[in-house]
Parts: sequence; C-alpha cells; structure tokens
Amino acid sequence: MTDAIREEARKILSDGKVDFVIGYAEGDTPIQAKPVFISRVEDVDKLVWPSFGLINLANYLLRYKTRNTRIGIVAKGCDTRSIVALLKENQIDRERLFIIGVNCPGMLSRQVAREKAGEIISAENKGETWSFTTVEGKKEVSCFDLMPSNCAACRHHAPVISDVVVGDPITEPEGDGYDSVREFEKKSAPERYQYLMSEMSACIRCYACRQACPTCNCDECFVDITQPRWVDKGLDKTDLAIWQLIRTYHQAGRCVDCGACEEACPKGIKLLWLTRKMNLIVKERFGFEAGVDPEALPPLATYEKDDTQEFIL
Amino acid sequence: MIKLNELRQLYDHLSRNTPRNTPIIGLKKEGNRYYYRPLKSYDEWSSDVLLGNFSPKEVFFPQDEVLFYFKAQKLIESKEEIKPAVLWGVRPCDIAGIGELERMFNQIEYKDPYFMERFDKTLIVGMACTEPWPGCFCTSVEGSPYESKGADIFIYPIEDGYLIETPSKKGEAAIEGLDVEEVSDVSQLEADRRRAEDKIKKYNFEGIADKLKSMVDSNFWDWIHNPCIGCGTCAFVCPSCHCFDINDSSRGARGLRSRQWDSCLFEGYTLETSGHNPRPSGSQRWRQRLMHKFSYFPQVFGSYQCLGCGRCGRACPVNINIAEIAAKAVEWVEPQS
Amino acid sequence: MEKDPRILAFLCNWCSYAGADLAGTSRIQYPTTLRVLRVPCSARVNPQFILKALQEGADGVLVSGCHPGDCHYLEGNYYAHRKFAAMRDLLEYVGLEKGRVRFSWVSAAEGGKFAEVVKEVTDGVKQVKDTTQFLKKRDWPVE
Ligand code: SF4
Ligand code: SF4
Ligand code: SF4
Ligand code: SF4
Ligand code: SF4
Repeated sequence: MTDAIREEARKILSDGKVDFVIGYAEGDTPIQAKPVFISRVEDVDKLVWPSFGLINLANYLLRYKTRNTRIGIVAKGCDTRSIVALLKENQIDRERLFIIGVNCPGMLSRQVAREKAGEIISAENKGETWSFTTVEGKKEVSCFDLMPSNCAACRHHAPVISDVVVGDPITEPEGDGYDSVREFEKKSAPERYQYLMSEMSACIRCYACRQACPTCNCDECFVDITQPRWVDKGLDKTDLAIWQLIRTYHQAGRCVDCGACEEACPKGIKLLWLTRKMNLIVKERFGFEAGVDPEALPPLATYEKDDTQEFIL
Repeated sequence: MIKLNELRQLYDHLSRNTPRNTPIIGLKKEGNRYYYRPLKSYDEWSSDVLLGNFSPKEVFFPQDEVLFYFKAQKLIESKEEIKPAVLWGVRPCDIAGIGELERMFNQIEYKDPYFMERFDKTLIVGMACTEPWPGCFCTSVEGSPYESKGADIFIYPIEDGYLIETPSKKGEAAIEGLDVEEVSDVSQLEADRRRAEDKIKKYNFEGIADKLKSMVDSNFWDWIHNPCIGCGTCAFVCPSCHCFDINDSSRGARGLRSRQWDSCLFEGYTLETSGHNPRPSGSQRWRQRLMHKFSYFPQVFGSYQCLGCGRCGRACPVNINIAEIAAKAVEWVEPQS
Repeated sequence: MEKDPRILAFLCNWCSYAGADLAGTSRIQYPTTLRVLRVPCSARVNPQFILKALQEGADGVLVSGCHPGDCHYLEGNYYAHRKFAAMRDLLEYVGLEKGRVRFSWVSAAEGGKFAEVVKEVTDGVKQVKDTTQFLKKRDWPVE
C-alpha cells in the first residue's frame, strides 16, 4: 500500500497537478503516525501507509479554503466521506483536490492500545500482533484487538470519491455497524446518564476533539462565544455536558465516525458513544448517512413533509 | 544523606509527622492514565511510572481555579483554604518545571498569591530516574535524571535500598526523627547518574536562544507547524506552561472570577475584542511556542522553559516533538530565495 | 415533585403565542406553570437553549410552534421539527429523565388545545423524580 501511495503521489507531483500531497509519515514515538505535507518529489518516500493513522487528513483541507492551492490528499474511506461533507458545505473546491483514495483495511488506535496494554514505553510490530513494553511489563496484543470501535463499525472502507484508488477492495461486513449502540441503549436511563455524564465530566476542555474533526470547523465555536457567554468556562459538569452534547448535535449528518476526535482526546473520553448515536438518529429518522451521497442535502438543511412527528403534542 | 531499605519508611514518616489530613500527592492510575492525586496509602502509588500523563503543575496551579466571588461591587475572598501538602515521587524534570512556574509567578513586582501559597505549603519529594523513558531529553536542556535541585527531599534508588538527600532546610526538618543511619560514601551515585544520562537521547540546542531571535521572519515556521491541529494538548500536559485565561461567571449581581489554563496554540489565544488577531496563522503560533520556551525565557530568566520531560510529544495527536523541532531550528539554514 | 414546576415555554409569535393569548381571553383555566418566552418562529429555538434552560433551573421546557404547513415563514417549523427530533432522541439516549422536554404545535385559534398542552406538560414534569438532574450547582459564598 505504501508503495502504491508513493507511486501516485510521485506522479501527481512530477506532473505538476498539485502543489503538495498531504499524507502520513512514520512518527518519531511508538505507535504514532505523523501527517506530512510533501511538496517535492524527492520527499515522496516519507509517505507511508500507517498502522495508527486515525487522524483524519481532510481536516487540513480547511486551511486552504481561501487559497488557490492545489492539494493532493491520501484519504481513507472515512476521510473521503469527510471530504464529501465539506464539499456539501462549500468549504473546499473539488477542482483543487486530487484525492488518492485508499481502500482502507482499518486502523489501530493508541487509545485502545493504552486500554489493553497500559502506559506504553515502546512498541514493536510483529506482523499480526504488537509487542508493547509498558510500565507493567511486556504485553502482546493482536492487531484485531487494537482496532478502534469506529473501524469495527465501519461500512464504508472504500473511498466515496477519489481520483485514483489504491489497495485491494474490501468486502463490507454484515450489518449496519450500530449494534454496539443498540446494545448500550438497552441499559436503563439512569445507567446511561451515569455513564455518559461521568465520561463527559472528565473533559478538560482542551478542545482537541474539535480541532481533530474536519466537520467541526466553525469560525467561532459556540463554546468560545463570549457575547453572550453560552457556556461558562471552567469544569462544571453541566457545562461540560452542554459542550459535548451540543458538539454532538452539531455533528448531526456530518460526522463520518472516523474516530479522530476520540483518538485525539488526552483524557481518553469515549466520545464516539455520543456521535455514533447521533449518526444512528440521523440514519433512522432521516435516512441519511454523512458523506456517502455527494448529491443529498444535509439532513438538517432540508425536510420532508411527512417526517414522523410522533413526539409532538 | 541517609539510607533506607524501604521507601515506605519515609512515606509513613511523612504521613505521621505532618499535620492531620495533609495529603500526600503522588502518581495514581485513574481510568487508564496516571495523574498526581492524593494517595490513600503507599500502595496506591504507581511507583513504576516515571511521569504522569499530566504534570504535577495542577497541584500548584489547578486547571480551573476560583480567584474570588463578588456581589455587585463587593468582593468576597475565595473560601477554599489552602492546606499543606506533600508532593511525592516527582521526577527532576517536573521539579524543574515547578521551578519555572515559581520564577514566573514569584517576580519582584508581580506575585501570584494563589500559586505562591500552594507552593510555600508544599513539601516536594523528588526521585531520581534510574530508567529514563525513550521520549526524555532533560540532559539536552541542562537537566539530569539525577538532579535534586528544587526538591526538599530527594530519593536515589540504589541496588539495596534508597539514599535520601535533603537539599532544603524544609526537607531536613521533615525527615527529623527518622531513625536511620547516615551514609557518608555516596560515590556510587556518580556512576548511576552517568549510566542513566547515557540512556537519554541528546539533542544539540547550542546557541538556540540567539538563533531563534534571528529567525522571526524565517521560512522555517511555514512548514514545521503543518501537522499541528492547534489542540493545545501539549500546553495542558506541560509542567511549565503557565498561560491562563480569566473569566467571569455571574448571575444577576453575584458571580465569580476564575482562571483556566490556556494555550498559545489556540487560535483564540491572541484574538482581540476588535476581531483582530495578531497571530492569525498556525505558523506564527508555533513560532511563539518554540520562541517562548527556547528563546524568550532563556533571555529573561536565564534558563530554558522546556525541561525535556517529553510529555507533549507523547500526548500530541499528530506526533509533533518539540525537541526535534528545536534541534532542526538550530541547524536551519535560510534558503536563498 | 410537590410544588408547582417551573416550565420555560418558547412560543412562536404567530401561532402558539396567539393561542396562549386566546386561552387567556377565553378565560380557559390551566396551570400557571409556564414562563413564556416569545420567539419569532419555533425554528429560532436553538436546541442549545433547551439545555441552557435545564442547566439554569427550569423543571421543564416546552417549545411550541405553528402546525406543519401554517408557518408564518412557510417552512420554519419543518426545519425546527428535524432539529428537535435529533435533539430529543439524543437527550433520551443520554438518559435525561423523560417528560422534561416537550414540543407541540398550537395554532392561534387553539386556545383550548393550548390549555390542554399546558396541563399535559405540567403533569408530565410533575412525574419527574428529580428535576435538578441537569441543574448547575452554584454554591457561592453569601458574604
Ligand atoms: S479532547 Fe477530550 S478533554 Fe479535550 S475537549 Fe474534547 S473531550 Fe474534552
Ligand atoms: S462544536 Fe459546533 S460550534 Fe463548535 S466548531 Fe464544532 S460544529 Fe462548530
Ligand atoms: S465527530 Fe469525531 S468521529 Fe465524527 S467526523 Fe468528527 S472527528 Fe470524526
Ligand atoms: S515543552 Fe514538552 S518536553 Fe518540554 S517541558 Fe513542556 S511538555 Fe515537557
Ligand atoms: S499537541 Fe500537537 S497538535 Fe496539539 S497543539 Fe500541541 S503540537 Fe499542535
């Protein structure tokens, strides 16, 4: 896969089709990939197909909203869906993009690695497993067990839009990927409240989740607005819950379940429990999946006269 | 120096000989991360963990802190009484970080009473790092895994026990009554220190303060910030980042004023009321971060503001490593355009 | 809850507010639990307002607009409906006690219906065990 990506990147750079290519490089600390911006053909060999590449590269496109840069981008299935979502909102121009789509077999997660193995000091890949040296000793974890919940739930491994596709096609698994949410919903309301509120109240408001998300791209986020001050600063738990719930709500019809937010969170908060539910709501109520159909209108920017209104008095 | 066979002796001594309910704050696992939190017992301490995921700065400088309450024009002091505490088992880089915070918050003209009261009332028990981690680079920023400066009590693990040094009067007083032998021959520590230092990756930061000074308009900044998503995680985990934001929260005439950690990598950090932002781009913001730690601080205070703990590199979601960037800045040659 | 609940009601200017007015001028009896906030259209109600109201101490929240097809701005309430649907499902998922956040369509001619809605919403909020569930605690010192 790495070779194929380099090949395509080399082609578009030497043909002068793009000014630079955004992709992944090997990180300098264990189990981390680093996004890179490659503008010279000589540097193409820095590009790799990483194991731990949950950062959504579509995020970087927003910087070039108002510039005439032509950009090549290595994009996983979910990244291409984010690109579609951004195109829908007129955040970027399709003509200035060259998308190297990747049939993505799934990524591994640092957060999951930390959960499974503990605080990791160094790591080594042994094919099907990873061997970690942690503060508690050596641990081996299989790649399968390092998969984040979003990759397990993914039903769009193939790029939705692209100019060229690399990697072998992947057979989509059975089901719609929302079983974990449905399972969670079986818990009683107080249990869910207790669990989700305690997750949300661990937040330290660094906003890494927002910064990592391509579709969290407002010029001024509601949580930063001071006139009026909607959400007080500080760590009150209702303020934290408002921050997370409204962020989730703002992702309705935009979140592609790429997992970048959860992966970025320094507190390891399980944000996808919220966003994935929002995706399910949007799917069940409005028959919409973010970033899948480039033509469909965003679900909250349209309506059907016969939307079911069962909850209205 | 004295020698202990078991560290528990020191812990127990401190917990017995400090006023009732003095918390002993050490590394503790919560969820799947390590934080500096009050320990219920010696066994709760995660002794094998070198550094917490977050730094001990929150002990002195909490992320969210009420400064005072108010009612109309009337000011009501914050009720929270600051009690003495023991900070247990912190590593040299973090101790140095606390030192940098103190320089910042304890200047001749400006003293931060909130920080200073906590600082004065805390006994710092440091500990040498026999096994540094791969991301550590304290030796490149004038630190050492065996540096006891800044601690009140300092622990050196040795083969058959622990050597205890008391670099400060406060520390000396704290171990008084601990019934153990004095050790005079501590020559072995020198070898231990060298062994630990040799394990640490060394970067060349020579002349960086002046070099950076000349790089204000450099092209360098155009590309190093590229992967950064401006999430501020690096500043939140850093032991010496001390920027904060002040906010009011009120209902009717009553309210409170509080402060929260801030980060120079946030877009809103420099945003002015008029809407003008003097540092509108990521490259300028990253320049600020590096300059502050490796140029402005050395120029003003004579020491780096980065202590080489390596936390930011580990926590950064896009794997930006400040040491690599600083080293690249040292080597940077401006392209002839 | 024992005492009368306090319910924040967002009523649209053109239908529900006029409906409330009609209930008043027709002297229809209904609980005095609402605190009314008039908004131009139900679509003006950002779901964030709902959470803010709960946080600031409302026991319940009602949002009411014109019937589908009757919106003064033609389609505001259709959009509003989608927003509320997404938000209410999310709140239910989070486990917020049921019956605290309600929605209705009441036209300017429906004074009777308005009174019914208020009764129903009030009864619903009265069933709620703990209306401080999402309340922001401010234990600020007095002097
Ligand atoms: S990344 Fe995590 S800690 Fe930071 S704001 Fe988001 S949820 Fe909170
Ligand atoms: S949370 Fe909402 S307001 Fe803030 S950036 Fe994301 S989408 Fe925008
Ligand atoms: S909310 Fe999280 S999972 Fe959804 S698109 Fe944004 S970063 Fe990805
Ligand atoms: S800048 Fe990074 S390495 Fe330096 S002290 Fe702060 S967290 Fe540690
Ligand atoms: S943690 Fe990394 S991505 Fe986040 S602000 Fe710091 S350098 Fe940028």
